[in-house]
Amino acid sequence: MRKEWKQPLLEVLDVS
Amino acid sequence: MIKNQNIINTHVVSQIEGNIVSDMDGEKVMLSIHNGKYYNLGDIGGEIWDSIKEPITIEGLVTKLQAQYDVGKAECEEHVITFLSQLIDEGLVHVEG
Repeated sequence: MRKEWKQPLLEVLDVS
Repeated sequence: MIKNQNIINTHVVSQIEGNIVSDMDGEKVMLSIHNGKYYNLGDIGGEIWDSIKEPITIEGLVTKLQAQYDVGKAECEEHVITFLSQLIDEGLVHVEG
């Protein structure tokens, strides 16, 4: 069974 | 190197080396040692990242993802190219014609 697709997004993390 | 506006499905994409990658709660998190930034690729983004460890055409990448996920070819291709454009902007991948 194939998994649900969600649009992949690149999140830039703010690590201060 | 290909700029993100010009990506087509016959282009070959691969990782640029020099990133520290870790799985966190099913999502892939990465530190670029080139720019010092941290990234969250998410779960599907992590799958894509793993799939481009070796050079692969975007068409091949889409086919691979379609085998795992319930998504049409056009939608998958559009989303993958958008995601790869973000990776190009951050200097994380190579795309060659």
